Amino acid sequence: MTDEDDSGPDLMDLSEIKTDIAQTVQTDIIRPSVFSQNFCRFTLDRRLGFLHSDSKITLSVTPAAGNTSAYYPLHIGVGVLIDSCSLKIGQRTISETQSFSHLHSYSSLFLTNENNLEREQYLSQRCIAHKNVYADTTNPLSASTYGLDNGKNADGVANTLNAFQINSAASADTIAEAPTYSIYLSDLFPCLQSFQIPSYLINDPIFVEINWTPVSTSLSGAQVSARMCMASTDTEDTEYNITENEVNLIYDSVSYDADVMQKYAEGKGRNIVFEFKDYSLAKRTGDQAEFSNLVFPIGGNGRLCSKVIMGLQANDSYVARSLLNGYGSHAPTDGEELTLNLLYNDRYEFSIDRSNAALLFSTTQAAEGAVPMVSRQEYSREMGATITTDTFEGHAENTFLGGQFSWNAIRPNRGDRINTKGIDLIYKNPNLAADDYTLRVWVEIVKVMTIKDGQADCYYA
Amino acid sequence: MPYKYLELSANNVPSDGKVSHARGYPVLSFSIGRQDAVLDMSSIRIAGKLNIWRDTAGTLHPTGANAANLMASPKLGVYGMFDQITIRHTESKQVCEQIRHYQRFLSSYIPLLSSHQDALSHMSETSLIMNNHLSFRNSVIRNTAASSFCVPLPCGMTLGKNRVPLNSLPIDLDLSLSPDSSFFFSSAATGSLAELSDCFYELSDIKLLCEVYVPQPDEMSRMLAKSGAFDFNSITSYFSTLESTNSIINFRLGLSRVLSAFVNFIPSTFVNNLSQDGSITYMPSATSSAAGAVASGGSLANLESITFLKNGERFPYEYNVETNFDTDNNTQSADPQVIRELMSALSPDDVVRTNISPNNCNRDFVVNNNRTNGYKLIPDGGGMWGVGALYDKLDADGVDFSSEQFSIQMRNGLTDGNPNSAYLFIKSKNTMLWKDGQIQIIT
Repeated sequence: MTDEDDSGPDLMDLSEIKTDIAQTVQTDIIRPSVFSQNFCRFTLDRRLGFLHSDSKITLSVTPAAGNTSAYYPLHIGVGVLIDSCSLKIGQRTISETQSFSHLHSYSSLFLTNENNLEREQYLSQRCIAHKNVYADTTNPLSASTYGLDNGKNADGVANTLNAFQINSAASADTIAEAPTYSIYLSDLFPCLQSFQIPSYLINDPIFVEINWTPVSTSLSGAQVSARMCMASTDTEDTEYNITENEVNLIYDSVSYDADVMQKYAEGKGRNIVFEFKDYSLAKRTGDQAEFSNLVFPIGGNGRLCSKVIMGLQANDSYVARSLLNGYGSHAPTDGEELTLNLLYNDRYEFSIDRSNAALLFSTTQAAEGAVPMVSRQEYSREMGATITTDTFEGHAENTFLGGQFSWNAIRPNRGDRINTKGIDLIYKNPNLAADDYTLRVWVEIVKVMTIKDGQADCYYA
Repeated sequence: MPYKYLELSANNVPSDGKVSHARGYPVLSFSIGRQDAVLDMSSIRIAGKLNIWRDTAGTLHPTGANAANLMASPKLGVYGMFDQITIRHTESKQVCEQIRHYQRFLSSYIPLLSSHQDALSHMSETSLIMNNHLSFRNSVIRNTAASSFCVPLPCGMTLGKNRVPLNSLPIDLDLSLSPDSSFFFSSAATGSLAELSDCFYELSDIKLLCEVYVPQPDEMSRMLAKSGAFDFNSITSYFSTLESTNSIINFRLGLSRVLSAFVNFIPSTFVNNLSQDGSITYMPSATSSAAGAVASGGSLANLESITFLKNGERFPYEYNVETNFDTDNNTQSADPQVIRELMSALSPDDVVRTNISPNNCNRDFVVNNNRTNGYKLIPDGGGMWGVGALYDKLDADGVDFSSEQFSIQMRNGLTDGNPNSAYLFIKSKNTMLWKDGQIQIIT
């Protein structure tokens, strides 16, 4: 950040500000300026203060007639409704994320299970947490498996969501009481994870644009809902529409004393420059043979890249009668190993390709600086029978959780700018079951945003 | 090119790449050689694959029908294989840090500083730790293939943010492997060793992974200085035995900056005993029946009072800790003050992620093999208990025990004189100085 007056606090910083100035938070409910079942836009007019990054967008769907058991995929919750999103200031696109729901599946790995159990299942319906499953509750040695824990004591071997989490069309009341969840703006736009935008310094309006996930998909053969999961008793191809009246942006505007705001505008705020991370998506679709020994150009040409995130989706996993629908990442076949490496600037990232599952898990942990809170069987299928066969919403947990969290990430650590040839991902996933798959790879790219004289601009670092 | 990954094979791996204590390879040795780079100690990982065999040929895995009673500690996973860690200068062989009884140290350290959900999620992938005996046995001990693992090695030099200039301080890292009789135990109701005598564990594809920073030319003189120093907290271990109702642990530590101390206990007959779990960290106990006999005995020798002393004076607490058992010998609860002080000894900060709970820290169990209330039935990873004291809340310069006597007095119920081993771990601040390829450790 360029400072012309260093005496005041950095008001954009989301961390603690060491100052005694008073802070005011004003919350407005913003309705979409454009809304359809495919697209939504929020227009944020210029107003006093900073757009706080923990502002939220609330979302809900209308329970579809005939279905009584729909719920969002357990690992991404209401984030499943968002296919792509962009943050624009005036005509400039500041940040844009493609295949958001899949990327959200990756980023949700790093929420602790305790956080999901105690908080997220109420805020976004993300509820991946684990517990030992005891065959005999009087015998502490009888838990040969583990399963999902949402705080309920399972009735026998059949666990269910809490009643308020179900989208049921059983009656007009249940339709009216369909759950509304929310998602943080900072989850949508990584640029907001470290800074809050000084909207009062920007002349142009700010736009939040969202493309919704299609209502249905036929990737697995039959037409099924792409937005919801449901019990086996419900009809899979029922379309779930987003409830327009429940789509709101809860805009938290943070402001300070007028003289502090003025001083900031005339000092640090005159010429703001900060870096943030954005994600560029590369996709490859093909049959199982396509991924047995793949060298995949994933872009990053001429950019500073700080991370590469990847996951493989099987078409057959796009099943609405399931726990995660198709938004997981498919682990290698039991007994096989995934092999990864990056090639950029004519050198490999790892001198020897990495294939040990636990090592790839640790590589992901090091890349993110946080631990993926998933188990061995969810990540790599090793001894998959350790996940319980008990059901959750009628679906066997071992069937729908095993090997569905095999997200990986690599942090290019040489600090080089990628040359014009870009990054090649070396990806070997042999002997996959016969199916069509899509490999999604996001390259985390460093961008720079500037705010000067009321004009926001953005460019690659 | 600021950072690069290194991947190093062990120095002493046989031609088939398989390492096991049973086949005469009790030490894994890695060398991170001299180079113009700075080693990020916190990035060190040991990765490999673990196979568990039930026959001497190493061809058959344990099953529900064969070697069905084979078990290892679920709260340690692969950490149960590491008996000692030594970090030394590659050329002069001077020791930078060494933790003996490493498995015993980790038996307290890991479950106390990681949560129930940690053990149920990511630790099952990286270190094969699971929170329940049966799920651990089914997925690791009876794995029909190799179990992959990749673990950090918690010790003073790796837990800090230490950066080692490899141009002056090339290092060797030696890991002594535990004997099979220490890693495994029998889960039979009598501790029977039938079908277990040939079982062994075997490591393959073992490698050390780390990241090094390659300084730019303008950083060379600063980051790759020929001499320098850094502080690190280390663990020094001591061993003693309790045999009476007034047990005293007494040592001259020779350490000038002691931060904390903690002790964990195990009946001495359980150490390196295939019929018993060598990683148990429960309360001292009376004599229990031998392997193969009907399980009996092993009642808890509850601690009634605990006093930490320095040169014969109560220190750091100016009082005796009179446990809740001293007040009410019918209580099934462990004394919360003792637990709190144990946790403080391991981490002076408030511990927010821990696996110790009333489930695995209580007086409900006896220390024998029975399948009703034997210690092997303790849920959530097994028994977790110990005694500790924090000397320096600020993790600053600690307390000087270089010439003073360190003592713990424990009044307990060990009326039959059954020897119980007490593993004492002292956390202290050390300083490493290096110059011209030589190092000096100031403790």
